[in-house]
Amino acid sequence: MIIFVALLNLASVAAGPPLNDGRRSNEAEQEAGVPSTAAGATNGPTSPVPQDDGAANDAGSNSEPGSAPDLESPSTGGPSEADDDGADNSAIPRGESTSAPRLVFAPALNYPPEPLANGVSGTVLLQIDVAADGTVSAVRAVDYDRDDFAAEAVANARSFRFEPVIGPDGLPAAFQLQYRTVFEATQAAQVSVEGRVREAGPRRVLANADIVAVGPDDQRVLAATDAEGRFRFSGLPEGTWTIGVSAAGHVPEAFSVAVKLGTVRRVDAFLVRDEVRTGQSADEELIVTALAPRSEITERTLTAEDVRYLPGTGGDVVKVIQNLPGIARPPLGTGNLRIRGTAPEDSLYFLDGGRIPIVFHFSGLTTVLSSDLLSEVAFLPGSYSVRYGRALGGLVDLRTTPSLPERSNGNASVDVFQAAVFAEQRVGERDSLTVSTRRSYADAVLNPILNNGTLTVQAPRYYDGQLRWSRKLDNGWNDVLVLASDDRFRFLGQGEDETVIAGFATQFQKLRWLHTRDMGNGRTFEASLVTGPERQFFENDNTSEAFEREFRVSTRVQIGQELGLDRSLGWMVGTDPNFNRSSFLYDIARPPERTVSNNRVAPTESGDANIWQPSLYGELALRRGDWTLYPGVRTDLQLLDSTRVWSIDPRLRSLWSIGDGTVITTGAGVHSQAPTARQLGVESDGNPDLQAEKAYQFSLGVEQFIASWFTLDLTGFYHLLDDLVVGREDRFAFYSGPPPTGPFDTDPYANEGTGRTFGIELLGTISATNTSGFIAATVSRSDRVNRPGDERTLFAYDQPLVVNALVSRKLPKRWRLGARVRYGSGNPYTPVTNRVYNHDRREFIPVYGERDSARLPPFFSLDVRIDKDYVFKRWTLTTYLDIQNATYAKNVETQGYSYDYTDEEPILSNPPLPAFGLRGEW
Amino acid sequence: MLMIALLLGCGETSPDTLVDELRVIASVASPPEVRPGEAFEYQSYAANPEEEDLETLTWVCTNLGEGCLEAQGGGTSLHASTETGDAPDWQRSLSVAPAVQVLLSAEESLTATQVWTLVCEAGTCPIIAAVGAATGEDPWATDWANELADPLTWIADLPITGVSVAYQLLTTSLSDTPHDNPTIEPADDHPNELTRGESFELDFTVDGRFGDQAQLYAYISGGGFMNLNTFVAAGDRVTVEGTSPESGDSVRVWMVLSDGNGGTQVWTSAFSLV
Repeated sequence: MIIFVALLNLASVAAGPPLNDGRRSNEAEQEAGVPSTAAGATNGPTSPVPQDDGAANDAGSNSEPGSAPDLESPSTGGPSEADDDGADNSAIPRGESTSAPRLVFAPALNYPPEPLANGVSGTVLLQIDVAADGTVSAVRAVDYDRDDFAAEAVANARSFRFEPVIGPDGLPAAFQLQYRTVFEATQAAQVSVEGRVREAGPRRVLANADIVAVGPDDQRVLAATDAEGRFRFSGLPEGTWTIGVSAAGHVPEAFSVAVKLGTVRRVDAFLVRDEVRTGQSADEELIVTALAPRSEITERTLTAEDVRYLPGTGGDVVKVIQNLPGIARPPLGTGNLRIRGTAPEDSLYFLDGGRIPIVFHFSGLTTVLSSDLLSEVAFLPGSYSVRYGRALGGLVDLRTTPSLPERSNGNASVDVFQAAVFAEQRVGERDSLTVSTRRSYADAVLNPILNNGTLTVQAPRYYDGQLRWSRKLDNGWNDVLVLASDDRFRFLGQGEDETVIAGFATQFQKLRWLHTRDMGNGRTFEASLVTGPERQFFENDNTSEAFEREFRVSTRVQIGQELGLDRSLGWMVGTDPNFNRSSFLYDIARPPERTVSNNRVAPTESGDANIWQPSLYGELALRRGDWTLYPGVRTDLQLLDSTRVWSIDPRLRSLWSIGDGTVITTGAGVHSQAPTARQLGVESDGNPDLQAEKAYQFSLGVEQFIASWFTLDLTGFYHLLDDLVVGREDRFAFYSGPPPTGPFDTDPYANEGTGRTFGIELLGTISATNTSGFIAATVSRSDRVNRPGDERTLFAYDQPLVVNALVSRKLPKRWRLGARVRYGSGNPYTPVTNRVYNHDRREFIPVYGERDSARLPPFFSLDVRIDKDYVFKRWTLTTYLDIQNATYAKNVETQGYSYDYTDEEPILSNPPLPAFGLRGEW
Repeated sequence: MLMIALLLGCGETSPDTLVDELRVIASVASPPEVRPGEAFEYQSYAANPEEEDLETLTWVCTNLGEGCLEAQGGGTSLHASTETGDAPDWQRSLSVAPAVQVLLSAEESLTATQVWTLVCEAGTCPIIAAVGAATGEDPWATDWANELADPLTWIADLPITGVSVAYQLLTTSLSDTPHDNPTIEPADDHPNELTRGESFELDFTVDGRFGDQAQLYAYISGGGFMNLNTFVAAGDRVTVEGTSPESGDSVRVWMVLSDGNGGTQVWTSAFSLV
């Protein structure tokens, strides 16, 4: 039996009716010392009880709809409970009322399944605010046995209707009452309608969605979905009911349901997301999380959902990083990252803290693993934690926080360059399995365009695949990810044998294991392993070959104590040792014709090396008031044959929240990078005495929350570079962009280079209701002194001004329009000032002027993107058109010359290339 | 063996066959392979469409990283002169430093000797004036001798037009049967005149001790040839196709045969335009 007992503050109350008379309870509940009426019914209430009456009435006998409670009737049984507080609750209105509150409608209770199955009963004491019109304006559970009882009781009471109470002034008045709901398992009402509410398309469950059932007699019963999007109505009278479903940000829907006793009707609702909203909303997409709680002082974090619609990215979360402040524009769409005035090889890429060789496929079209696998991408341009090391420049950490999907989901996409499939499947209670693969067919599209009759071009062809297994532990995760990536680009001669004129390949296969554990009390443990082979390969005319092969084992063990609300001291210690089996071959044939001394073709080199890189790092987190200090130190050792390269990197960061949404960040520290095996001279003409290159990094920033839709981040940085390894520029090397030109330093390797890079970065983030985007600007300078006594010259990757603005706006009918504007200074280059004619090779050889003394024209590009979503019940189809360089700006990507070097013939960026794509998501 | 290479373009000539500026087109060392200290004749061919007064400098430098060995071996490795005309050619008697002999074995040859040719419009290149001022002295004893050892360091400072710099590697050996230059002859009687704006063909026979990379290069002072180079073998008959210029009274053709072993031969002729 379920009995509702109300303790009223008022002098008189009204008893409410049960919705289903046939199953109402006859029991009443006696409040000790506080007589109460009772309206116990399996499906319904109820009898509010005047707190000062002390009577408990039989629910079945006096709780007819519209009837007043018999305040004088004694309780006929049931448990009783004293409620001393009830009398003190402030009644509204205060003073003497002229009529008693009367409960005229109350729906049947939904009995929580688990206690119902176990025969568990219980009570919930509610405090209910009733508006002047008799509707319930607020409900709160003030005393209860179980959370699920309380939730159901509150949900149930929201549907109560009282007869308006007339106040002393003769007008209807609001009031407050206490009400006891009693759950009796043996009298539970049968479920009439149940269902689940999800978002149309992605089928994401919608919790706390509002459900209203309107009956044939205009009864209105309210409910809300639980965390899994489920709802139920019990004990509805027979007849045609209308079930209305609504959720914030979604288009409401209504369903007509014929309720029949003994039958459970099911309603599954798929609400279409209301893309265009009005008013301000703080939960809109936040493109760049700059003010989120974190320990890094300059960590710019992106999520895949944030950037899917931004133009020029193809939905690739990592590509968006190229637009953030601190990054120079990569040439020729290579995608390599030139962070804060350093070379691409001075920055590192991590996957959950373990190194991976590259993040972009050839030509920078897309990332080497599916964005759907990534939970976030962290971009750390400098002054970062001691957790990361072995790099002079910045780093990118791709993070794949494991999670159990609530359902099977996936997507498939095709565009002009590639096709991709992603699927995620939950396996049992604790496991999930994810598979993803992608294959480009840019070769099929571009080859007919590029082939000129004498060459066959195998345009960038790449594929990648990932397989992931995640297991949720009691206090953590085990996560295994296998990924492979293969890029190839070739020029083939015509003919049956299709001689390889030039070819380039980058491949890697990696196994990543990650174990995380929450040790309680803010302590965390992390262990990871990333291992597998990686290879770069170059071939030319079937006579030349060059490769770099590595088998790298990157591990990490870290334990930490996080700062908490009641904890002002945190710490972190860890180690991320690496082992790298490295081998290389540079066998570049000399041209058949005879040549002179300034050619760059070097003798054959080859070598093998076992490189051990143990490390240890530790960091404290000290908080005093609004100021948090992170002192840390990291030490690295590199062992390679008889060479030892040791470095100690002390670092200090601080965060100071000075109120009004303002955070001041500072950072200072040493960042070391060991020489390569080739530079150290293992089986090659290197220098075994080389030591680590150093970057002394300093930064000062301010982050200001301007408005709910706009935040601003301004950071100044100064990096002093020392002990840079210089020399032997005549050697063959794999370059991720156009190779350097001009006079080369061919002297032996030495730690004699110095340099500096400094600048200001600005990031403004827009996160308005239907508009999101950001503007990023970097003003910087990067220069070098190659050897002592040399003049200071611009660094090859110096770009003094880079401005990127991206915006995406939702339009009606699921259209979305985005634009990206990019402006960047041109890269420095070494101009050709004259030429020499080589009689033997019958060609001109350029004579270069001062190194990097000229600069390419500025770059400008306007990219636009338009999306249209088609939302179906169980899947979503997105179509888009992405046009890069829509204005056909003739940007110079690299300098070129006529055959006799009398005329500059620059290599221009691509003409506008409309990219049309489809993406289906389920 | 007879090979006919008919170069059928798409109606467009190759831009690098047109020589419309001052340029040293080719040089021929006779013989192309010499013993250390041995003299050789070095004939250079230039295009001078503006018919400017020219200053020339020719020098030999066996540079093994410590300057030219010729600096220690006398002045026969350095010559300056003046030339005129639209297609001047001039011949020098040069020699390779005897010191090279210590680097050679009986079986091996060395291609470390560079023969440089600098041609400038009069007054453009100070270094030529400096050589002229040193007449009667040992030119290699002057301060700028080191600059001749590494011309790339100062060529960048010269204007890119009105100046032409070229070099060739000369083979030195102790061989008793040194390499010879190849030969190139017109296969038939060539016409004396070409029609303006019309295509034409020229046939040649080539012979010699050719390597795998023997090629025939074609240059013209107006119009153009369809292709710059054609791979050839000894005894080949080669046909080259070109287009004469739309205007002018005459046009000059240079055919440069490189045998792939260091030997070179040049055939040149002027044609009237009608």
